[in-house]
Amino acid sequence: MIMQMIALEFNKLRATPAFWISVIGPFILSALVFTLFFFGGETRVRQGMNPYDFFLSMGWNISAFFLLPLYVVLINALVVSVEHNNEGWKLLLTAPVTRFSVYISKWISIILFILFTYSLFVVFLLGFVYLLSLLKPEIGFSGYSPDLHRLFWWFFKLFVASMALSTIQYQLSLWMKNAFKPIGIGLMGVVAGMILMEWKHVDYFPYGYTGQSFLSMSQGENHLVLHEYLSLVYMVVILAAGWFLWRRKQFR
Amino acid sequence: MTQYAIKTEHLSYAYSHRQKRVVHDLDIRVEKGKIYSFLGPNGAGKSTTIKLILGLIRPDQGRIELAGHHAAPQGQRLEIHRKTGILVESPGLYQHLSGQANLKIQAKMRKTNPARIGEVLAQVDMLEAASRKVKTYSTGMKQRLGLAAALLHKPSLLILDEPTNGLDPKGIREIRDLLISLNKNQGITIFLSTHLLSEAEKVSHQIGIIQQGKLLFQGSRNELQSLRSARMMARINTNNNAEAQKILSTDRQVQTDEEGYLLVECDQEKQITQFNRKLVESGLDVYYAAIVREDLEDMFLNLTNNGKE
Repeated sequence: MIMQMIALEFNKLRATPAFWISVIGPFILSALVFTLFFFGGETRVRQGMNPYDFFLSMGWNISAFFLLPLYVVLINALVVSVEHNNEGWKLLLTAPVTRFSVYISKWISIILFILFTYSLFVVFLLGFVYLLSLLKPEIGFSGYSPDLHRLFWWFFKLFVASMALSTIQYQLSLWMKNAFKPIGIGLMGVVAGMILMEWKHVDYFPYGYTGQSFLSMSQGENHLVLHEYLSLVYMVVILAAGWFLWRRKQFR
Repeated sequence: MTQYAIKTEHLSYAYSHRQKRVVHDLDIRVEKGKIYSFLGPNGAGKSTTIKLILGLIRPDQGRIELAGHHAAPQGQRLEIHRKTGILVESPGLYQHLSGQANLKIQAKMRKTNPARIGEVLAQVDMLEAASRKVKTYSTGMKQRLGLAAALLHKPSLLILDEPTNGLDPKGIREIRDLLISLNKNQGITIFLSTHLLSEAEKVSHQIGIIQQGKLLFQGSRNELQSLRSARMMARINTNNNAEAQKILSTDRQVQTDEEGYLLVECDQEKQITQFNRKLVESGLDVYYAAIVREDLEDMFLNLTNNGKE
């Protein structure tokens, strides 16, 4: 039943803003990095640097602190608001499906959206860097290739780091009918995460986790670190606590 | 023994502890196989009652039985939802999708054969508009699509909150005919809320009248109509109404209306000739004598006004 509900979720969201930002967002971001290197890449890439890796890490750099967490905030609000805006809750809760499957399938759908978008970002980054190597060989691509193992860890660490944030935003979006509220709160959280980047307890502040993962990768940590494990702990605890609250929610 | 499709006992609900109850000690009895109109002015508590029945909100007190099963919040709900077709206030429809796509989603959720989609669209006369996005629909069209969705899984009970909302007179008639035929030919029990007495009278076997959360009347259409005939009066004007009142009030109640005419309680139309004869034999001149019935609409207003006092 849950699998079927997830499939329905994607049916419902076809051609909605949730779908478009998930596809166009990573494309535009990768295209921007491409533009940055296309015009003046020669001066950016220093002798002895792997231009592929430099390109890829630039991609994560411009997205990890603000744009990826912003996407997580938006996708949660957009996926849930489809129900708020269309009296969808009444429809779902009077259908022969359990409340739990409604709750969990929506959360899983959002996680799949995030997985899809981050994967798409990897694909677009790789596509654009190959395009760049064809159009601008003078940047010094010859003799190098992208470090796919490292690319996987960029992707995986940021994905794990997004779980706590996503689960918190999911709860906010479930309870707040007006989608601007969870988006506003999320936006403030993400900005706070950037400000608190150097704070010694930042490992406990989920809104800064994607930024922290970027910093961790920059230090060559190709493995999960404390805040990423904490992200998973937050996810489990908040998801469970959220269910105990939401299962008794009244739909006036 | 009468079988009830919906039975509530002492159902009560307040939106918060501080607020007055919007539903108060409601005992609703919807007989299986019948059409029940839940009638009341706007804000009387109809939609809240429906949400209680559907489990969208929890009652503060009372018990709800659907098809003989205690409808606990989760217990029997799934089974009940499987057999029930529902249309609440504004129907749950995804505005950015077409009518057809909306029904496809619901068919999948209810594991219904997609072939039913065409059938129900035809039933509510929405085949032509099915490929258009719901956001381009009028209120009436959304209502029809919502009804189509409620019929998709061949329910044995339909719970409809103001199903003719937003429809033009022709649409109202079509939906009314459809409901009557669903009840007659497929034996579907229908519980519908409405604020229009005329609608309730035309479709239903049973009527419940609610005002300020309380049930003022519950019974068959015939019972309501006999209440109506009990309110038949003879309206009489003579050259001496004070004298006429004395003569007629020996065995029945006589009142005076705002124009000074007499209103004499009567059970049958032919009694007016007896009154006339009596008055003429007493030497009075009768200028006017006619039967007046309290219109059902007036009676509904009366009933609901009484509730306010």
